[in-house]
Amino acid sequence: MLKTMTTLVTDAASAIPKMPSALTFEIRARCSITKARASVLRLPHGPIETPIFMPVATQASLKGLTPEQLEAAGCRLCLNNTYHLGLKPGQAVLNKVGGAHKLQSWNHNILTDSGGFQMVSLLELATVTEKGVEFLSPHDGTPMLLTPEHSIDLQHSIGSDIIMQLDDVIVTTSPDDARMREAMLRSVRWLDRCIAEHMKPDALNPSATYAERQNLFCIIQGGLDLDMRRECAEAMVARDTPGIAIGGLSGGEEKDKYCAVVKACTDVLPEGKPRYVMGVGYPEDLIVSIALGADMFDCVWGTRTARFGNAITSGGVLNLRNAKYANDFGPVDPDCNCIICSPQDSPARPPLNNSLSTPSYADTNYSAKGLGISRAYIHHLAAKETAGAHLLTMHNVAYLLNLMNKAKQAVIEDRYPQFLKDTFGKWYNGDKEQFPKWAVDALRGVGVDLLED
Amino acid sequence: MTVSEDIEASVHPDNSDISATHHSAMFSFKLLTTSPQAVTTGARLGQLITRAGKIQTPNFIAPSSRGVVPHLSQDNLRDHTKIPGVYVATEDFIEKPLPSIFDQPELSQHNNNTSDPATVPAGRLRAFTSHPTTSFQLLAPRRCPPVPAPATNTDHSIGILTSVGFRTLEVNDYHKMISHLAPDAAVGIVDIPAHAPGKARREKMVERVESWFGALLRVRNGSGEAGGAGRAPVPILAPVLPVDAEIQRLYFDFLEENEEKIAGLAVYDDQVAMDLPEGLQSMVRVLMRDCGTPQKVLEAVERGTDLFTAVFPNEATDAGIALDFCFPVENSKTGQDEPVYTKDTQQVIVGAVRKQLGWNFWDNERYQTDLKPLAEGCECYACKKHHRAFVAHLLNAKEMTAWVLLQIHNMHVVERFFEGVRGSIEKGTFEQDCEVFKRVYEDEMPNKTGEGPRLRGYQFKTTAGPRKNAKVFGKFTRPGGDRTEKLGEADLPPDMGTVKMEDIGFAEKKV
Repeated sequence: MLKTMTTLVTDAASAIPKMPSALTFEIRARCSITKARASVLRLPHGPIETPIFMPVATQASLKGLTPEQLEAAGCRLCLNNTYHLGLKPGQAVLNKVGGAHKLQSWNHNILTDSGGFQMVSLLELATVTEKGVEFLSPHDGTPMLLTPEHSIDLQHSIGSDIIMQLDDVIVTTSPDDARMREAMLRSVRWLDRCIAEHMKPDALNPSATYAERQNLFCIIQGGLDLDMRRECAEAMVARDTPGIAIGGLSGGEEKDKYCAVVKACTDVLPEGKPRYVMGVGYPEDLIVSIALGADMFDCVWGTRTARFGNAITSGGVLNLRNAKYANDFGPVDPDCNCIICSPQDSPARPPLNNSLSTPSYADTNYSAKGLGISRAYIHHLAAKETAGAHLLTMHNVAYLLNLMNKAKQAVIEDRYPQFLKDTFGKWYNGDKEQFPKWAVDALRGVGVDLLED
Repeated sequence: MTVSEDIEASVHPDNSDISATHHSAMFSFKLLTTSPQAVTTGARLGQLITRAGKIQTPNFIAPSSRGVVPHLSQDNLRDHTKIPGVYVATEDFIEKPLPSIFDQPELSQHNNNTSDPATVPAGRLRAFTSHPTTSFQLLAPRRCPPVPAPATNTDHSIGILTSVGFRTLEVNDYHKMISHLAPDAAVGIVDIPAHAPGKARREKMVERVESWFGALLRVRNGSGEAGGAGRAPVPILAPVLPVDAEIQRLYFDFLEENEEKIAGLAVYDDQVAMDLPEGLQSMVRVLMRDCGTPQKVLEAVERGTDLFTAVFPNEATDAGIALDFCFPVENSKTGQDEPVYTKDTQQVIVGAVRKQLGWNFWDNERYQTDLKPLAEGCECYACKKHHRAFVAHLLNAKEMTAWVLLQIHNMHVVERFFEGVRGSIEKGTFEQDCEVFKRVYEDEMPNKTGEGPRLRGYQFKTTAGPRKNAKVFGKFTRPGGDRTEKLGEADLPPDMGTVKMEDIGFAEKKV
């Protein structure tokens, strides 16, 4: 086994050309107790600050929102899904239109996944071979194939600022160690194929490669086996991608195992690169993962749950469809200053942080002034009028971005442990008994005792 | 507990001293001029002053659903449209035994933080719905258009539909709601049966409406019950029924006698309004039925309609149609789709195809790489910031943002249309402009081929008829579990054939 790894690492050093980076990552502060970091990540479409949460605009729009509503929430980096954009509008259209930024009039950053995850999860007949992900066309059963090269090619057409390698994803809870190992090793081999594809001359600028305008991130696999994760991390770090993702999580594994994997990975990762934990998550996951040294997150939960009438607030998640909110005329979250929670026509709030580029609506009628929406009114609209979902989606996105910004501020002021205690305290109304054990344990591992005053 | 008892119980005595501006300042209508062509056309210009601002007429208000204009969150409504007002249905708010809107503080700190109660419109309806302060709200008993209710109307109640089902609304309860919710104006309750009424039934309709409206006026001006102590009463529009004016003659006499108590007329058939007695002629006429097409709107303007409740723009939006017409017809911007017209707009080139009133964006193939605005030259947010390819993609992907952008655009087109109508009346060219419009444009909206957004909720309930939502493509699942829930946003498997999949570059055929 070790021999295989050594070969993989050596291969990287010798055969794979050095890949340029289209980002800079500047760490501004580190927590003196936990592994949390605060940084400025400069991407082709402008800077962002980490820790960051990236909302998921699956098919080039965030569920009923206009790009400017997303900007007003403080977002400058969102996700699109390669699987979905590959189907609709399709690569040919993306090429003609000039990529996803033009398609959705979003002049900020986009990150795309590889499409492999959706393919394996959604297409029941998908199988993974060395060539790529094979699946049967659901219409006529024709065997089809998504290769690492094709995934990268699709992401070139999309033009996203951060692109992800195609990896061999299997659920972390899979009991089959041999299959897990195969997937990990294959993911490393596929990374090499992705890099080779990414180093091809840019169709729009043949004197340069795609790597000069898009950042390819590797994805560490290895299930819940920490040694396998470390091994994979070592091989991938040797490939020197501009950023590093930890994949295969958020698939229903136990939370303490999740935390162990994140920590094991960040322990061996270089300091100077952004670390992205894919598919996470809930507000608690986010602030614990930051303490474990992660920088970037994405998850559909916050926006999906909004459509079911759930508001993420500083006092926890509230199901506003519950009858008890029918007569609650206060704001969705009294501690929130988003457009939904601010009083009607109150001035637009200042930008989330100083790095944010000017929003596109600066020269339009869009005022981003407060709307003064009450819990009772969301209750009245929930699941009956889509505008209710739009409003709550805007709030939930703003809440998560705000939370990340507060976390960043706490790191800069070196009071992250206190921030953790305060935030958990509010979510659970001061009842420490209710704090999830996994979070308490994980944070103990990085020097914070949530239960102490 | 009956609804009326609920209302009594929920009135907050401590709020009853809130004063409002004088009635006349709160709602008044002034006919600016009738058309210079008044001999042949009844088109007229006016100005309606409401608590929420001035509305130049002819103009339109948009029907709302549960207090929102469909697809438009309040920021988009406020910042990206100039819709002067909305139509609000009482039946959207009273599904619970104790409707929460009744408990809404009239001036909530949260909703009206910065406002001065003397200048900003207040009232529970506005506070509850966080409706933009510069947009007018007209309260009526039922949605526009209403879903036929199976319950027959009685001498003291009408059948309505709430989100939890059909029920009846007591006329007296509606009258109490008017004063309790304090909208900017309200429409008197009408008795309109679901099916075409016979002669006896028509007479019954008039009899009831006169009696109900009389009761409303008494409540309003009597003991102060409806207005509340010290509060100016809510401006009331008197219904004009969709039956021959002759049958309504006595009722019209009654309205004339009470002319100073009536803020305007809610007209259910604008043909009837042409036969209004002299004393009611100068009142604002709000048309309570949809016209369906701009041509029909123009005809109603010619018959003296001042304010329209326009349903057709929203219907176009739901159908994925971007409206594209202007009034008066401009010398055409040439485009591939559009025939050319001569400088003299009276002379449409013989044989030229008539212009479509809008474009069906479900026709995805046609627009998928088209980076032009939805309608060329349009200044709305959707057209200035986005393009056809995006809207076509969003519709194809059934993303909600498609309908948001189309709604912003369609409202803008209709706003501009009414601006054009007013300008044309002012110039005295309205009649000719109408003629040209009718010659240049198709008579009907483009065919609605798309499925539209998934229609949810009670407002789409019908007593019979085809299912509203087509069956979605069956998911490809293994027995024992549908994993899509876990994936959340993730969509169905590729809904297309293999050749197509290769064609668009999604994946390649395995060799």
